[in-house]
Amino acid sequence: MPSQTFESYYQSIRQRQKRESLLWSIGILIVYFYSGYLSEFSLSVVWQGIPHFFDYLSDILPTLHLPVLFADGHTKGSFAYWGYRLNIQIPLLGQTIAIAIAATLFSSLMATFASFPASNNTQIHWSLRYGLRSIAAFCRTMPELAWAVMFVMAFGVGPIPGFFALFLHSFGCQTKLFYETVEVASDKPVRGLRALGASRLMRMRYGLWPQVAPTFMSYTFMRLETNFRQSTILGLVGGGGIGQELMTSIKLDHYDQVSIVLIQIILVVSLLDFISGKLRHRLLKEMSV
Amino acid sequence: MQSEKLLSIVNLDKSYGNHHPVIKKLSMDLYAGELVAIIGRSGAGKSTLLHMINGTISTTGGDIIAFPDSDTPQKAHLLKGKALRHWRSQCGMIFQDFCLVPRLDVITNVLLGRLSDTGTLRSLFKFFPKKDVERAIELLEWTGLINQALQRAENLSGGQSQRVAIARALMQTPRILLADEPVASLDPKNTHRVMEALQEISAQNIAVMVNLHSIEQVKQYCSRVVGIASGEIIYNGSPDGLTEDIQQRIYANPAS
Repeated sequence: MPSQTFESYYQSIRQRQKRESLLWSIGILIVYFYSGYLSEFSLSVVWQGIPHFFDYLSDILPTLHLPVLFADGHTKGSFAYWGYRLNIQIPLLGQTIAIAIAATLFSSLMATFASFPASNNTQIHWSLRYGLRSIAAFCRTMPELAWAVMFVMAFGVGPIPGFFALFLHSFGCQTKLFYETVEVASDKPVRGLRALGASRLMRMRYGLWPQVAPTFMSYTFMRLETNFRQSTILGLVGGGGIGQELMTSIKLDHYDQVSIVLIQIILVVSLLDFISGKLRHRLLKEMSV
Repeated sequence: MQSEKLLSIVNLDKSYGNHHPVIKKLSMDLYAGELVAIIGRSGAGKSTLLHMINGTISTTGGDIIAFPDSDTPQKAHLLKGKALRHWRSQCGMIFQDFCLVPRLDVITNVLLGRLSDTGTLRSLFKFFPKKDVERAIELLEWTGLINQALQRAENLSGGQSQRVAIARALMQTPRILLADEPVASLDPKNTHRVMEALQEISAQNIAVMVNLHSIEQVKQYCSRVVGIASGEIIYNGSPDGLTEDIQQRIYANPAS
């Protein structure tokens, strides 16, 4: 009977699906525990460490005394005493923001141009496509820190190695995100333009670009947020900006300066996240391409 | 008086890979001012035929001769690069799914019809000459969409989109207009508006070739009908001559 045949067929398919999901689950669990074993992770260390978790945080708390809170910079316990290096730190913070913005803009611009020939739906010769993809993959797989160390060796400590490190890594990431966006764009406008005699460049400009531009913009804002955090980290290895100040304060045990720098970083990152989120929404709604 | 012959298709063949042919030894002509319907079952090769004329699908054999009566006839199926783009600009095309650029406004979509004649730098930055803009406005007035000119194309209804697509094709000042099932996704009212527009276009001495699914539309709007079954022409003549018997043969199951 046909219904019986279907029933047994269905059952066999179900059996196979169950078997496969069981095998996958077991496999993932094995990988999970084995990697824990390899990295010498142990719960007892975590447990013993918990009481000391806030030690450093309490160390870096500034000493503030209520009666002299608003006294001048020479009085211990005042705000001014705590923030005596703000005149140095704030410009450094500005430098960090500048590095992040410059690296993001420049890398996104380059990635925009690289992403179209790197996509598989723009009829560009495969050699160029794979060439660009390989360059992007290389830039991306090198961590920013590795790039930064290389450039610090070449250019010395300062914002220049920080910029180049961020730029190269972002270029790699942005190019990949961008060309994947281009690849999933609808081909309808492209077909229409092809039929009316538009050249390849024009098909990209009018068929694909209007579709992908808002997404590119969105990715650029997200990259800006990431890059600001990253450029702080790069300061730790000599990439300039506020990170360098943070590193120096940590190394010299200037506890109260560590906290004030961290507070500045947190404030600026949150502010930047907020502004770029607002801007992104606005642009996406009103952008004409 | 016979009007000018704009296109001559001779023994056209098309097959995909080693599969059996989609178009077999198909020959037909196209004259200025005609509104020719192409009918046939799904998969009969109607769409393939239109795309081969426009050069978006390659041919396997035979000739597609553009402007055979002129001093410079061309083999359209052999054109490449700039010459091919120029040919495409002379034979406009509209689609069932409109193929507009959704995020651009309506008037820009219409202006894109001039892309093949606009310099690279100018067109990269959307600088269209004043006379093109004037022409685009005229066309939008003719299609009754002037009030939507600054809206994004993605906000239009199906019927409106198809009228924008027609305006875009006319912006090319084509000699031939190919319409690949232009009314297949439209309601009766919009179908009527689009078919009427195609009729008006053919009256301007442009040859219009349209894939249709409904015999009624063929009889109502078209001056000639070509029936295709399994890639071969079964009937080529006036819609009045489309008898029950011929329709049977056009829409019959393909002999296997």
